[in-house]
Amino acid sequence: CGYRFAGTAGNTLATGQSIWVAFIVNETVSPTAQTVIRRALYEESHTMRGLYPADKEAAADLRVRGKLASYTLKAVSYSAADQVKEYRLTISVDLELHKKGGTAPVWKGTVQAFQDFPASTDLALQHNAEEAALKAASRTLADRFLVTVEQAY
Amino acid sequence: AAHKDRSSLPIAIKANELAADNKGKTAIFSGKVVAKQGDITIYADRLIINYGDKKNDVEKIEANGNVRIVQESRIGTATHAVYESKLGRITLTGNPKIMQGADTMSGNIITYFIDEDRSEVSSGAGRPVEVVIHPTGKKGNAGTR
Amino acid sequence: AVPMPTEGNISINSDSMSQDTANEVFTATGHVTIRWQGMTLTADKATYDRKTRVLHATDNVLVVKGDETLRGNSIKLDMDTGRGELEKGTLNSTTSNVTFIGEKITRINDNEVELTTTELTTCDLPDPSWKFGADHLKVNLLGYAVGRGVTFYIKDVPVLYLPWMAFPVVRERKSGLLFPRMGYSSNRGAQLDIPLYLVISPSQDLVLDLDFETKRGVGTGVDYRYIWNRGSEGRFGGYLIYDLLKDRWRGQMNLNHKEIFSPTMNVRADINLDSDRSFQGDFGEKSGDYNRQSNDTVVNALKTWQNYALSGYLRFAEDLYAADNSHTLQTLPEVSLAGVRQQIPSIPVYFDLDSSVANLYREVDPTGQRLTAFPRLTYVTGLPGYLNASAYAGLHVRGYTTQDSPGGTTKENDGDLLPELGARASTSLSRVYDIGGTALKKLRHEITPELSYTYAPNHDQSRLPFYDYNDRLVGQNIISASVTSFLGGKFQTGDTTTYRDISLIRLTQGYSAGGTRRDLLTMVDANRPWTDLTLQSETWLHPLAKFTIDARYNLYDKRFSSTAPGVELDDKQGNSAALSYRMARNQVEYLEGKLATKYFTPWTLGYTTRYSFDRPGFLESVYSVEYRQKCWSVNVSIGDRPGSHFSFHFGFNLEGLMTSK
Repeated sequence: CGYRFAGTAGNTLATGQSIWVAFIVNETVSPTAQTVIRRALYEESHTMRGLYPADKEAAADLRVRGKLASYTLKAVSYSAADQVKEYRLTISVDLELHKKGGTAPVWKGTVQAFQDFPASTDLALQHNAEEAALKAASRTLADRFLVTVEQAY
Repeated sequence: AAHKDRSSLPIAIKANELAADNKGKTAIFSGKVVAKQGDITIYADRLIINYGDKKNDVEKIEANGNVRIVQESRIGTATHAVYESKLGRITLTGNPKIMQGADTMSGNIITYFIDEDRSEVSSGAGRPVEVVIHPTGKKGNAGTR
Repeated sequence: AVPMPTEGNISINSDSMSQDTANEVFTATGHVTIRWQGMTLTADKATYDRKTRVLHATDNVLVVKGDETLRGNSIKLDMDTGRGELEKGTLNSTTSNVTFIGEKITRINDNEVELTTTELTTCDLPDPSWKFGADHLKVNLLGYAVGRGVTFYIKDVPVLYLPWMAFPVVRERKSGLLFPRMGYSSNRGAQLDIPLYLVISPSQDLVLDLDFETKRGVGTGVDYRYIWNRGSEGRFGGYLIYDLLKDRWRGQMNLNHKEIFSPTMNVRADINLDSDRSFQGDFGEKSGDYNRQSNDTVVNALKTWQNYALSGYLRFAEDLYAADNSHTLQTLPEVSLAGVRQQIPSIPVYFDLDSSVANLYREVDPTGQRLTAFPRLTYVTGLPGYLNASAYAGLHVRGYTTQDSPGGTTKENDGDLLPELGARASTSLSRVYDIGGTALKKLRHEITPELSYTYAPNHDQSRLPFYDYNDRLVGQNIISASVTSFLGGKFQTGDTTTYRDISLIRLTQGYSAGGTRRDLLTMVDANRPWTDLTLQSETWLHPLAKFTIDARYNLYDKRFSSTAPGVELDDKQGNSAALSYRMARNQVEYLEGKLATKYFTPWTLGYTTRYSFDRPGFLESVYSVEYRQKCWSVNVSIGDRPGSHFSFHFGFNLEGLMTSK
């Protein structure tokens, strides 16, 4: 049917390589985004490209650096009493991909993702939902990054 | 400032060949010509000297080909130059250029008035006047040689 | 073009030139062009004195340097200091499209200009719709102008005299309304807001404004922006009013500050405090203010190393929807250490850690300290290129010390251990289709099917204090399958090739055998064995048209439990439309629409509406009209909310001076 596995699709990110993702530079109000986005990039680079986390940055075949450009919450639905019912978390990360030995980045750009989550009458529980939304948005961001890097067909 | 008549100054010329034409009162030197009069030295491939009425009075010198005229810190280059010693004036044409220390002037025709220490550059035939002045400190002398 | 002379050299072109070598004066006449350090000066005549290094140029003088042009009939330029004095000239700079006309314009250096008996406007000359006249004006082209004896004219009629005035000239950082804003609102009465713009230094500016409100009294606002040095910057905003209706001082304060010590170490603070809980309701003008859920003060400190991140975090929240703030949990502070993918030497097993120690406080019980840690090992394997698999096992460790626990159910010290394990398997298939269309040349489609399993035993934790969901971890035994489709396109117009995302669609379905589950991302999970079939998608029908839809389909009841379609159109020329419908069964049904069009230029019409099907009725509608000319614009906005909340605002802006492009 013409579809090929990632291993034989001749992707820019050949499978089986080792990858080092640095902590995402985070100057926003989120206390955990630098860790959650970094972990998502590791997890999705394995689920989609079979890449293994490198144990040291210097030894890695691929290196990813990023800066969290924005972390914004916006109300997207309201109740009859005009009280917020759902929020949308949008994250935007400037990312760079480097290959071993190369100085100039192989790919450089900004990737965005969003995830909606419900408000709660208890702000502490709503905060748990916001953290779950950050995980989900980071996963979509990582997927979109891995696919966008292949834009050289 | 009135110019001094320089035609009476002695002139020394070195060249590979000389062809004198007494009737026309001209002398044609060719081949690595070097002519020196007072503080001016003219180098050229060919030099034509027109003598004035009195013997040994140099009225006009025409230089052709790789002309280089040197006076103190000024160097003028061109493919063709006419030195009218009576009028104290040198006219350079054919890609003329004057270098004064680090400053350079170029144009279509450059006329240099020796005694007035003044030069005129005019544009024409597609060649604009171009002057590049190298900034030296105010106290600096006229240009590092 | 003639190459720019090297750094210091001055190059002069002209029709003719004379050089008086005795006193070293060059005189150029006819089409004189002088190039020096990036500046190009043209004039009919110019003399340059080598000794004093002063250049005089006269007749049709035009000086261009960077984005700044000076025109006049005579200029004296000192080549040593770069200082130029121009008689009867005009100065304009393209970045700020401001034009200055002056009897005398003195260019002190690349960034500073002084003008005497001058006029300034952003309108086209010769007869500008408005202009400022000033006896003396000092302009710093980096950002602002300071004038003495300033008169504001509309056409040629003097309208306003100010002995002293500072205003922004270059736009990037400077924004803030300089001109009074008038309006009326049902809860504030007739309103006149007069801003005064103060510039302290190129890296700090302050806008003070007086806010007269017939119903509430006179308020003062402050908006102070600062960059102290690289890495230390912020913005402080404040508002204070003696509220005549409530007979007391009311206001709000917000501070956003960043201290960046290095790329791996920083402190960020975002402080938002109101004087009272109904301040936003009474004084908030737009949606997001008057219906705000909470005011949060958050302070974060962060230090990262190769595999570990240490963060200090403090949060104080004011719940504006609740009757009072006594039940709101405050985190004062929480210190957390996270480890990411630390490899166990020579085997594909990685150690991850999330841990924190928090001091949790609220006015009602229980309050106390909580330690949580979730160390886990992840084994990463698979057939590279064909199948990617990973499995993890971890332990939830929790410890509590609780003060004054209610009814004695929670002990003073308590703890709990709960294992969790899971696995994931996935692959990815892709194909490139050759389309060969006029614009669309190729399509790349990638599909990523994935299976994941999570297990955590069911385990009674009712004896633990309840602060948030981390204190009630649910037992799980859930398999979930998902497939994600990524479609991208290669477009060619002329010789430019662009790649664009076309769609990202993800379908997820889970089955939980026994135990419960907790999906924090939805309000409508009926918690039956089969989860809803969940769709998340983003599709670009056209680079300017984006369609998103998230939906959940309940397999048992055979109907949608939630659906949220949304469409956004924007032609990037001022015309845009957005519509978003959100339904979560028995929870919310809501519609929001936005429309803005420049179709009737120079009028720009805007309409925003928020409609609740639950009410049913409009929650808010805002109509806005803007009439824009090259150098000024007038905007009117009318806001209508049920419960006789009506507001009207009128603003007059001097283009290029106030509104940031």
